[in-house]
Amino acid sequence: MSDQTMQLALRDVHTHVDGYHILQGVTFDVPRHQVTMLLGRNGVGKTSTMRTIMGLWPSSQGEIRLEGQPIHGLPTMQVARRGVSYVPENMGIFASLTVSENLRIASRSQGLGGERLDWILALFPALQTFWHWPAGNLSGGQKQMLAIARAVIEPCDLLLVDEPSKGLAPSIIEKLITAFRSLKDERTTILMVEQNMNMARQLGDHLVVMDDGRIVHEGSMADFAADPDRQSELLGLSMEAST
Amino acid sequence: MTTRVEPIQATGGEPVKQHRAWWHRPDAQAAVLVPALALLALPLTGDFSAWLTLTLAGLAMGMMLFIMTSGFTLVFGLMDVLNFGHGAFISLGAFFGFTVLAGLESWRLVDSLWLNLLAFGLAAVAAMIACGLLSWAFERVLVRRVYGNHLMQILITMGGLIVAEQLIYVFWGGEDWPMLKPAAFQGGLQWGDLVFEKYRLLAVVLGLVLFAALMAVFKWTRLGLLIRAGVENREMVESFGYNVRRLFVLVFMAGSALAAMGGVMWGLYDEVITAHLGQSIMITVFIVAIIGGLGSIEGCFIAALMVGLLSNYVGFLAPKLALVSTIGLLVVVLMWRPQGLVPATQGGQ
Repeated sequence: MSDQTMQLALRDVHTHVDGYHILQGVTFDVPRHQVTMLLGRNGVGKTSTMRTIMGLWPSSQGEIRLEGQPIHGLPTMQVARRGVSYVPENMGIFASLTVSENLRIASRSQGLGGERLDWILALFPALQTFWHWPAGNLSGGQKQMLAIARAVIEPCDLLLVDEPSKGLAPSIIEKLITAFRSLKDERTTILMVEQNMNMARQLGDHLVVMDDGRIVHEGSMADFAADPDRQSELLGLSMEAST
Repeated sequence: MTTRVEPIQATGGEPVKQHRAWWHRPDAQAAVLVPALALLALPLTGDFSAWLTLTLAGLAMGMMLFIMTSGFTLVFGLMDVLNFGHGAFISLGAFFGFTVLAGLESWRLVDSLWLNLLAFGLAAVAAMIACGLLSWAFERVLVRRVYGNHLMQILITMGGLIVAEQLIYVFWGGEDWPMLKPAAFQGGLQWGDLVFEKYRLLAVVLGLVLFAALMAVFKWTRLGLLIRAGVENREMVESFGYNVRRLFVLVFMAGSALAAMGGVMWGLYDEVITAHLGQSIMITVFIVAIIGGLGSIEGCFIAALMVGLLSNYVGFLAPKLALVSTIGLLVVVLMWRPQGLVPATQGGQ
């Protein structure tokens, strides 16, 4: 069903949470080495989709395949060990741990160091400055950088990022876009939930739009960005207004 | 982290929260309460020698409470499990220790500090190992079924506690057993007019060593790092590929082993043990955990010392109020900090 160019494939995925039918048959693909943008209004099931892929909420029906292998029904830790990294909407920073301790938890080797760390610190110099600070004292943008750094300190096959631009100043969003470009150059496959159309347009290759627990559009980001009518139809906004 | 640093503009381009001075940290503020309470009691007791005796007794009791509460509070912090069966391991620990000590009677009575210590140490270690293993079964059979449901947890672990008490009646009988201190720890050290009870000194030293060891594990080892992170955000630790369930079972066993050690120490302190020892202490353990902030080991330490000191001072000044003093402390602390003295989930905020 999922051919070789697809990193992740969802087929008719349903998720129930506390008796609510949140995902009602979600079907889409995440192509390898590309950035897939998951768009949609608030409350349509974007975060639920991410949590279901990660195994934090069990799907009740349907298939999720990573590299062709089924991962639905696996506990979160097994999904993570198969190379899926996750940056949740609230960033999931360990506030009482220092920046370096946050990174040490994400790194599977005993010590922290090596080229990978140098590369990450070059991407986010602020982390080095606040190395021994409790992560709870960082600003929102720095926390987001730490969350992303944590997710990629081990090379990952698939990076799930839930609304990285949420609540951040435009200048910080520009920095995040630069960082994600570097990850893209590294050929990391990314699935990103985003409300910020500017960011989505700059980073996205592939596009998936959700409404009411279902996928209502799947296609190329470039085509969608050039079609204001489709945008207002699916998202209720125009790209001009949001940039 | 004792210096105040100006907001830095250079790196991220945006200002960050100031690195606040140590006296703004919740754990530092709470820690000051312990000497403050002791100093406040000094003029009230009036007599320095009596105050010193009470303070030492309070610290010794506090240390034992800390040893017994640390496991309970971590089990809650990590997996949101309220384990009232914790008291079973306090009782069982006391009885295992009692049995081992009875077998080592000659070492306990001999006039040699080292043999006395060895007898005490063997009793404590045996109790810890036995209770650690029993708690593994306890977790498998009872606790694992009721994750995420506090009411069921309280009911089923209380049930486990009752079963454990009844088992003690089966194996050791229903009577109270005298559990005598090793010879070297009976009586007190005289220093001028002042008398220091030896066993209390031992309890204080052991408590301090244990607290230091626990803090070192939390600060310097990967295991400790994972426990602290897990208390804050369990899902996120799982998202990094760690088996939090296994981590929890480990903490559950270690916590029960500490409860057993606390039981042995408490039994020797009171010099009598009964099957419902754990059940009666459990109420205080719960209060200490709440005052300290559920899941916080620093908070647990500070709260245990405060409860120990306060019970002894009030017991001396107004014996009728002794029972309500800890509840009073609980009320006052929760009015000031509803999350407890050192909230476990926002230590850095």
